[in-house]
Amino acid sequence: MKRALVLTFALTLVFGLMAVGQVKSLNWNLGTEPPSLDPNIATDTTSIQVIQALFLGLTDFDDNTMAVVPELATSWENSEDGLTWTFNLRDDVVWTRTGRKVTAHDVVYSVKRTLDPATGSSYAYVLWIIEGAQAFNNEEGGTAEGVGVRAVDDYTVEFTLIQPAGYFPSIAGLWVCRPLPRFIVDEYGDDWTKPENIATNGAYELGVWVHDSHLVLYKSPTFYNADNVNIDQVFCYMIEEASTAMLMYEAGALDSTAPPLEDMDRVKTDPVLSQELTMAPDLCTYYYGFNNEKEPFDDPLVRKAFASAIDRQSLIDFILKGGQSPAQTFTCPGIFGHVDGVAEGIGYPYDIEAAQGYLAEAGYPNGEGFPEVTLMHNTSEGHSKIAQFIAQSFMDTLNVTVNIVNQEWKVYLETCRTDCPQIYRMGWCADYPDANNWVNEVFHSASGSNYANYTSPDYDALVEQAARATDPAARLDLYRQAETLLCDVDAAIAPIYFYTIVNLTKPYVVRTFAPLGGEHWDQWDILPH
Amino acid sequence: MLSSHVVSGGRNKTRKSRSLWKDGLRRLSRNGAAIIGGCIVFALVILAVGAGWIAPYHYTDGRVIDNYLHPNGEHLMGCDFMGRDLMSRLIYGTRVSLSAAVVGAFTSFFIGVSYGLISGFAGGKVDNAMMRFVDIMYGFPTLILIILLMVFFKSTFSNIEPGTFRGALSALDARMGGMFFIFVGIGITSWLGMARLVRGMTLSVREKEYIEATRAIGAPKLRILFRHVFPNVLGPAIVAQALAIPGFILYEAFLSFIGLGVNPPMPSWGMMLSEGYVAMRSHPHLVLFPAIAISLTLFAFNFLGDGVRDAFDPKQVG
Amino acid sequence: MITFLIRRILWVIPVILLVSICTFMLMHAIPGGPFDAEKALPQAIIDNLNAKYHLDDPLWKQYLDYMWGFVRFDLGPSIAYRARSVNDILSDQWPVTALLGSVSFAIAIIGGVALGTISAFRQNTIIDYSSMFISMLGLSIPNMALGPLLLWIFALNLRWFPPATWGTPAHVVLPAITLGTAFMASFARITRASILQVIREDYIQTARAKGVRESLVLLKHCLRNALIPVVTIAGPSFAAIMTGSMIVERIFAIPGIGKYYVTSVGNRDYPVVMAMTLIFALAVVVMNLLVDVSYGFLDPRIRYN
Repeated sequence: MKRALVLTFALTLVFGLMAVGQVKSLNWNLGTEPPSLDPNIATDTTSIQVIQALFLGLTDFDDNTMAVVPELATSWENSEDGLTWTFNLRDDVVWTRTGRKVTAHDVVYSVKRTLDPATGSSYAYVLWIIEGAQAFNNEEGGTAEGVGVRAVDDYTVEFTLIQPAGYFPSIAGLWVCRPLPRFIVDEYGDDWTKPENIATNGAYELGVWVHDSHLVLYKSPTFYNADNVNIDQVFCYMIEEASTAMLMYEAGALDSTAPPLEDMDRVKTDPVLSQELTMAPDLCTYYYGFNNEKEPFDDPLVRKAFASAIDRQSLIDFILKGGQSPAQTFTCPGIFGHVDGVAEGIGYPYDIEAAQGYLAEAGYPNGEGFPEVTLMHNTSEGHSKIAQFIAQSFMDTLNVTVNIVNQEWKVYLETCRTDCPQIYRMGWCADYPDANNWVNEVFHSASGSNYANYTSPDYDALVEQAARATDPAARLDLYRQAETLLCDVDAAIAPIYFYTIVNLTKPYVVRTFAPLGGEHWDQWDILPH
Repeated sequence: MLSSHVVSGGRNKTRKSRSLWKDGLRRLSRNGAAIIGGCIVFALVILAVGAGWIAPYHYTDGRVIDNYLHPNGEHLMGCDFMGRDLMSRLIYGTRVSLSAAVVGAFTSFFIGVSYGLISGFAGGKVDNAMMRFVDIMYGFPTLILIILLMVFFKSTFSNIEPGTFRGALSALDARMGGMFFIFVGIGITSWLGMARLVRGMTLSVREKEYIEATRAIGAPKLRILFRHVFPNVLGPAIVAQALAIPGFILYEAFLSFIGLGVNPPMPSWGMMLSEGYVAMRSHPHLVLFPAIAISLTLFAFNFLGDGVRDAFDPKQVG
Repeated sequence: MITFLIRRILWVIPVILLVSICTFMLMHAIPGGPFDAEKALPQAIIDNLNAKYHLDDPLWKQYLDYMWGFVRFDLGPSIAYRARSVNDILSDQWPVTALLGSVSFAIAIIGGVALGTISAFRQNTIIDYSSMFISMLGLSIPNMALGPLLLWIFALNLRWFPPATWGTPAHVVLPAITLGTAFMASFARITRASILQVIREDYIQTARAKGVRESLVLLKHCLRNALIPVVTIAGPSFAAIMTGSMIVERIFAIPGIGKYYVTSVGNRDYPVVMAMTLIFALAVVVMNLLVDVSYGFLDPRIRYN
C-alpha cells in the first residue's frame, strides 16, 4: 500500500513536471537484458550498473581520483593489527515500500547471504579475506555464525579479516556487500527483484521492467540526497546491436552510446559527432596468454619471440581506433600496483629483429622447423579482427604458421581450463583498484584463472607477500618485481593493450565517467535542449 | 538406323527424331533468363577454380594502413578492415560459398536420395516407419540443431593430435579452414525434403509396368532398384537439389552471421556480409559488394534451375 | 473428419518424445555447463547450484522430470535468468515474435500471391519478368543487409518510422517487411507455376466455353486450386520465418524469443533450450494440421473420412 502511494507520488511528480516541461529524462542503452538485479548474485556489468543505481554500498569510488569515498558509511577505521575494520553508517537511509531504516543488520545479512553456498554467488570469493568466509562459502566446515562480520549496533558494522588488507574499504563497497532488505527477500525468495516486490535504498527506484525490452528507473523521493539528484528518470533500452544503437543515437532516441569501431573514422571526422566523442581509459587489459606447459611455448625464448612480434601501435591505430594504450605489463594504469612497462622497459615492445633473434636462439632460425600452432579466441567479431591482425603479424615477422580457431564462450572456457591452447586470448577487468586483483588472483599458480599454467614459486611468493604488506612503497616494489617476472623474464603472457571507454554523449548531458562499477546517474544533469 | 530426314522442297517437312535430352536442351536454349543464369554460374565456377590467377591480390595481402579504403584505382572494390583487397577476397570467397553450397547440397542429396530410395522401394511397414521418422524430424527447429551440432563439432574436433581418428579429422577440418564440419552440419540438417521427394517418386515408378515386368522375369530386387528405379528418379532429384543450392548459399551466410562459419582469414561471402553490414553507414562498399555477389548467384541459380525444370518437365508440350 | 483430426493430434506425442530426447542428449553432449564463468566458481558453489537445478541427478531422471513438468505446462526455471521462469519468458515474449511472424507471413503471402498471379496472367511479358524480378530481389537481399538499410532510409533519413524497438503498430512495419520479403519470392513463384498449370486444365476451358465471366473463372476456379501448392509450402516457410526472426529481432531490438534460440544454447540454459525446441515442434505440427485441413476446403476432390 505504502509502495503504491510512493509510486503514485513519484509518477505524479514526473507527469507534473512533464506537463511543465521540466522532467529530466535520460535515454540509456544497457546493451542487453540484465540477468539478475540481485546484488549477491550479479556478475556482469549490465546488472551491476542498474544495481548500483538502486542500492547503496558502504563505500563508493570517486570517478576522478578512484579513491574510496563514503557512501552508506560515513567513516571507517581499522585496528592496530589491521585485522578489524569498523564502519559507521548513516542513520537517515530508508528502504522504499516501507520507510524502514537501513541498518547494520542489513549489511550483515547481505554479506552472509553472499557467502551462503546455497545462494550460488559467483563473486563471493572477493569476500574470502573475511574470517571464516572461505570455510563457510566453500563448505569446508564453516557456518554463517563463524563469518567475521557483525553488527555492533544498529549503525555500526565490524569486519574481522584473516590478514591485513589495505584495500578492504574498496571491497566493502562492492555490490556483493550492499545491504539487502531482509524482509522482502525472505517473503518473496527468487522473485524479490520483480518491480512490484523489490525494495531499494538508492537514488533511484525500479519502476518498470519489461524483459528484453526496457526498464525504467525513477528518482527515489525518500533518498537522503534526493534534493541533489537532477535526473528524474532513466529510461534503459536493451539494444544488443551496436549499429542499431548508433542509429538510434543519431536519430536522437539515445543520449549516449558506444560507437562501433567501423564508424570510428566517420565519427572522428564528423563536425558534430567528433565533439561528442570521449575516449577515456578503462580498467581492463587485453592479453594473449601462452600455455607455458605446451610445446613449443614451454620454451621462454619462443614466448619472447612471439611477444616481440606484436605491432601494438598499428593495432591500436588501424584496427581498434579507440585511443587505447599499448600494454607490456598486466595490471592496467589507474590501479594501485600498476607498473608502466613501456616507460620502464619491462616487457617486450614490437621489435622484428629481436623477435627473429629469439626464435633463432630457440632453435628455429627463420621459422624453420617450427610446428603449426593454434591461436584460439571466443566467438566475437572484435576478437576475430584482432586475432587476424596479430596472427598475420606473427606469420610475417617469424615466418611461422598460425591457425586461428574460435570457440563459443563456454566451450572456450572449458578448453582453456582443461587443455589450454598454445596461444589464447583473454581479458581482465578490475573488480577493485588494487593489483592484488590482478597479479595474484589471476596468475598465482593456484588460481583457477591461470590458464597459462604459469608456475613460479618466486612469483607466488612475491604476490603473497605483497598481499600481506601494508606499506604502499614496499607493495609497489613487490608488484614491480612480480610484473617483471610475469611479462619479462618468464614472458608467460603477452599483454597487448589497455582498454579505453569510447563513448558518444549528447552535449546536453552533463556527465562523469566511472572507471569502476556503474555510472553515477545521480550526479549527472540534463540541460534544456 | 532409320533416318527420316527427307529433304523436301516446300511445305512438308518431316521432323527429326529427337531424344528427351535434345528436346530439353532445345527448350532450355530458348529461355533467355536461364541462359544468362547458366553463364553466370559458369563464370563463378571459373572464378572459384582460377582464383589464384584471376584475383589481383592474395586474400591475406594487405597493408593495415589501407583499412576501409573506399573503391579506388588500385582496389576496385575497396579494402576491408585490414587493408585487404575486397575484390580479391570476393573472388576467393567464391570457393567457399560455392563449395559450401555444392558439397552441402551433395551431402544432403546423398543422404536424402538413399533414404528415399530405400523407404519407397521397401514399402509397407518399413516405408511407414521411415517416413514417420522424417515427419518427426521436420518438427525439429533446424536452427537449434545446427547450433548444437556445430558447437559439438567445434569442441570435439579442435585438438590436432596426430595418430588418432579424431585428431586426423581435426587436422582435416583445420586445413580446410573449418569447412569440413560445416559441410557435415549442412548435410545432416537438410536431407529431409529430398528424402520425401525421392520416396514419392520411387513409389510411383515402382508401380510402373516395366518394373512389374522385370520382377516377373525374376530379376533380383537390388538390380531393379539400381538399374531401373534409380535412373528415373535421379533426373528430377538433381533438378530439385539444384534449385535448393541458393538456399545453401544463404545457409552458409547465416552460419557465418552467428559465428559458426569458416575460420578466418579464409574469406566467405557470408562472413564478409556479417562483418560488413555493421559498417554500412560508414563504409557501404563492405556490404554492397558481398550482397551483390550473393544476390547475383541466387538469381543465376534460380533462373537456371527454373529453366532446367521447365525444359525437362515431361508434362510440358514442346 | 473427426477421426482424422484425432489421429493427427495424437501424432504430437511421438514427435514431442523424439525431438525432446534428441535435443536433451545433444545439449548434454556438448562441453561446458551453465555455471562456467571466467572467474571460476569454487567447487562447493558449483555443486550447490547443480543441486539446486537438479543437474546432478542422473540424465534419465532429469529428462523425465522435465517432461513431467512439460505436460503440466511447467517449463522450469531459466538457469541464466534467475528471476524468470521459462513460462514467464514465453508468456512475455512469444506474443511479440508471433505478431512479427504473422505480419511478415501475411506480407509474404499476399505480396507473393499477387505478384505470382499477375505474372501468370501476363506470362512472358515485361510485367511477368519485372514481377518475378521484384520478388527475387526480396529473396536475394539477406535480412542482415536489408534491415539496417531500411532503418537507415526510412527511420533515420525520412523519419517515417521509429528507429527500432517495439511498442506501436509503426514499429512493426520495417521489421515485417524485412522478414516477409524473403519469402515473397517462394510464394510468387509457386503461385505463378501452379496457376499456369491450372489454367490449362480442362475444367477451366469448359467454364470459359460455358460463358462464365473471366473474373469468376479467375477467382473461383483458378485461384482456389492454385492455392494448394502455396498452402503446402506455408508450413516450411513458417519454420524459416522463425529462424529469420532471430536476425531481424536483433537488428530492430525487438523483445521477441528469437534470440533465445541462440543465446540459450550458449548459456547452457537447458530448460529454455528444451522449451524453445518443443514449442517449435508443436507449432510445426499445428501448422501441418491446418495445412491439411485447408486442403479439404480448397480442393473438393480431397476429403477426409
